[in-house]
Amino acid sequence: MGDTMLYQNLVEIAEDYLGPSGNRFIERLAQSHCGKSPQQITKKDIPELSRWAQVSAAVLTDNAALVTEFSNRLLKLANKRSLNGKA
Amino acid sequence: MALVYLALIVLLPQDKSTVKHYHVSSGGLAALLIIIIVPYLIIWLIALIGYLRFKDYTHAIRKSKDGRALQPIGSGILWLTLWLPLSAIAASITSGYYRAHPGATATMVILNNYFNILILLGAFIQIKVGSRKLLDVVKRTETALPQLLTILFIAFSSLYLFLVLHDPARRVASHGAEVGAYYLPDWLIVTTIVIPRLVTWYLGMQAIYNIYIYSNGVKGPIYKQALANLVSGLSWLILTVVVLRCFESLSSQLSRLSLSWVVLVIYALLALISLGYVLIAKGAQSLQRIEEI
Repeated sequence: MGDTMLYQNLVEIAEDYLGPSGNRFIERLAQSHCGKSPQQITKKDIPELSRWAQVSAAVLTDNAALVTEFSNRLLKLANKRSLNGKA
Repeated sequence: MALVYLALIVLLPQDKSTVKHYHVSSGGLAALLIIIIVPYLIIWLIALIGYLRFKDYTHAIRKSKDGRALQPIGSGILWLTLWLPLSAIAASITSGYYRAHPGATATMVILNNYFNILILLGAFIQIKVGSRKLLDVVKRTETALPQLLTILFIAFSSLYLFLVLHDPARRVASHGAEVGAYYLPDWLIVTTIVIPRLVTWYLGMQAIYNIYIYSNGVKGPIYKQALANLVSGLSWLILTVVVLRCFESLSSQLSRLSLSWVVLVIYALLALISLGYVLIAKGAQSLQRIEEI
């Protein structure tokens, strides 16, 4: 079963970098690289999503630090015990 | 539309008054028209490409909140894009008609003026509606223009009204102008020409301001980077259309300028308009890339 809170956190992080496109970006990544609907994403999918987010963001900007930061923030979600903002 | 325009230029009788006014031969006038028309056609093409890029992007995100806000802006850009050839065609048809039927000059000039006002008013209303919806995306409410801009707009409006009402050729052809500018009494010029134009331009200014607030308020440095060209392009387009329309509406005063100056000003304004469309196309393309990866 997926985690709605996990999906919301993913979208929030993506929106910090991609603005209103963040939601659509996570949806596409989930469908094309995990073969799942966004709500079905689990913590196990995060490393793959983070990797693809890094590759995709690198295409859009030359700011390497920003790309790494984006990818790392997504990756950190996989290690969080609780997804309501507290680790 | 480009073919229709070219056909009208070739088929309609040449403007003898222009030949006389600028001391050019009929052949010289034909060469001059081609010199002006070729870049004009290129600019229409650039405008069309700019609009189509923008439409592709808004279509791709049509179900989202920002997509729904950009749809009316797209319709407004479409009307601005169509306005370029439509106004040229309307001007050719009406001037061709009154050259053949001088008794119909006033009617044709009035029709041409209202035609331009309606298209631009419609386009700017759409852009303003879309810009207002963009503010909803960043949870901001529309605010009035800053004080300095409002004061500048009032000053500009007063100056524009002064120039229109001091145009000796506003009601009949005079002072070297072969055709009158409006053929209307002053109260009708003010209420049905000047006020709608000023309202249109005010809507354009408010739209630029709303888009600026949106671009400042929206999250995401990567998105903002891609949005920058679109915002600059839209603002530039609105601004240059206002300047061009202002210039055209004061053309009877400007007809005293030498031919080289008139051609130079037309070229400069058209180049500035096309820059707006290039920026829109570039911005839409960058935003589209975010939706494709």
